[in-house]
Amino acid sequence: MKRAMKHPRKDTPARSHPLIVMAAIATLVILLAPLAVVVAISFTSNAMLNFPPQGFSLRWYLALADNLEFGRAIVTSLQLAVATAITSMLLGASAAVGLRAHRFPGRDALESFLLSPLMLPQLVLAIALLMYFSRLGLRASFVGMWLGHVVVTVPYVIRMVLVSLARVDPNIERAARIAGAGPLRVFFQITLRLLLPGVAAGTCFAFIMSFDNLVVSLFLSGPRMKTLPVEIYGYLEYADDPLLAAVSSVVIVGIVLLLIVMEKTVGFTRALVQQGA
Amino acid sequence: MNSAANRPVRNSDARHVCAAASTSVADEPTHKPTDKPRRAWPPAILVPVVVAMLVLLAGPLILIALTSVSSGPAGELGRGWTLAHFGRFLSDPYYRAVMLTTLRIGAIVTLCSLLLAYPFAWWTLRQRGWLRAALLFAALAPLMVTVSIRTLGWIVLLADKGPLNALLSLSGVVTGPVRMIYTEFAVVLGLIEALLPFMILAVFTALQSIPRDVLRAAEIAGATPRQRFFKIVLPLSLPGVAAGSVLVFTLAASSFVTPRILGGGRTPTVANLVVDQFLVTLNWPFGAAIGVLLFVVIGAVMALERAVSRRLPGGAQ
Repeated sequence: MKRAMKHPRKDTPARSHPLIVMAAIATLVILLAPLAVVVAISFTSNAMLNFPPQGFSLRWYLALADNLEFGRAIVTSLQLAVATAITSMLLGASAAVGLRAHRFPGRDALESFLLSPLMLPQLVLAIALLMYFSRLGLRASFVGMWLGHVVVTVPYVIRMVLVSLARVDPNIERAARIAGAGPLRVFFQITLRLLLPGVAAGTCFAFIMSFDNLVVSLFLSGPRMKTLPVEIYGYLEYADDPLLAAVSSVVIVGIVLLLIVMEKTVGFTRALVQQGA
Repeated sequence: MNSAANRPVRNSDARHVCAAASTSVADEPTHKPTDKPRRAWPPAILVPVVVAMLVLLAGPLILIALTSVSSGPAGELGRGWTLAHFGRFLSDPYYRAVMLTTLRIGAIVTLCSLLLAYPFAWWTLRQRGWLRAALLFAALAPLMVTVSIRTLGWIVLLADKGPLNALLSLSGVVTGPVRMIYTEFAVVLGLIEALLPFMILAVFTALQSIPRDVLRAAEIAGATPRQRFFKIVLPLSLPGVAAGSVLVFTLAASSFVTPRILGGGRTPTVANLVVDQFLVTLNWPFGAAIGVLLFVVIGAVMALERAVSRRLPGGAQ
């Protein structure tokens, strides 16, 4: 930072080509307009899903509080997201530590295998799990959705922890060893603390990705076991109801608040940019 | 966030320091960073995750592959094998047309996302402080909102009496409402919005990793901004562009929510054929075969990208 002040960089002029600025603004509008519209419409006072909203009222939020279907779906989604986040944290962090701490034959192949769900279309995974769980009697069950979500989220946790481990200076651990700490003490007092930010970011991502997941949930859910995205999806095909906008706004605001907290603590955008796409 | 602008420079500094440090202790092999304990077997800490992924990932994938070639009417295994499900898909002109539609939509979405994401990433990278942080946050946060909610936004925006039609008629471009919802246009637009963050992330990461020193050297050597962009920035960002494009294409070609809802069933895609076979028609072997085909097509595109990227100037990393 000091250096940047002494030598102001010339390669970042304030002005960009107007076409670039226009394309950038168009990008922002496309990204944010659908979300803004949903939030705006949730305050409408009439019974139509139209924009611009008519008047201002909280009637759809009050209706939401009385709606059992959405209430149950929110509880299911939250339980599922917590279970998934904890499981993928334990599996993902242990995988990353194991992959990084030792050299053994086939390590790269094992890493590719554990990260392979990132390459797999979720639809293919979802139908495969549907057939598989049908045989095991786990179809339309909480356990089935939980296990399915774990397969989707574990690779993200592994990658985030691997990225944060790669930035850890191995000399710190070595210094602790030389200073007389045993391997277990080094692991718990040094390694674990150093990888805490990566684990925290990965766990938060696992939580959000499970809470958001539609594809895997849709195939593994049942009439009495629906997550919130599945419930909303079901409504989308026929209902024309501002209630949908109200429940969606609650989710949008909740997610944005969580992301802001993440940004301030573990660095939401940084975690994504570090690991690349 | 100001420090983020300096990160590439500081990173490379750190790398040089590390490299220098490791060469200075190179005569003491036990201290080399790469000298992790070497084992004949994977460490025990990997057992839970490997078992979990074998049971929950490898198992289901083997099952879907076997089901797609099983001749049992309900997908039972052990009643003989057949390639009839694949033959049925590939020989039917309707299904072939659906496959082409899917690939076309994937290509259009990928191209449009790139044309929007590249300027955005470039512009964002040149901002400083809170503005840059806010732009990046605004671009990546939508990724974390479920696709069913974002689709709802488009249903409202693209409605016949919706705001977009109001804008169009206000500007006098059209006289009556234009049909946008339940068309391929709506599907493409919805997919672009859903997948743009992935492309922005890929391009931004690639642009950020270009060392500033290289650009400054070119500037000192007298290169114009245009030359610097086309001779340095663009070639060095190509691996990121390729990775982002493949990711967006893959996700677009295998998506079914946006085509189903915003296309109103009028834009059939391969993914929707799979969904119908599994949730409506309940012909699981045929659905499994279509799923395997989709997977093969996507895998081929990925392999192609790998092969091309390896030849790109910045692709060594």
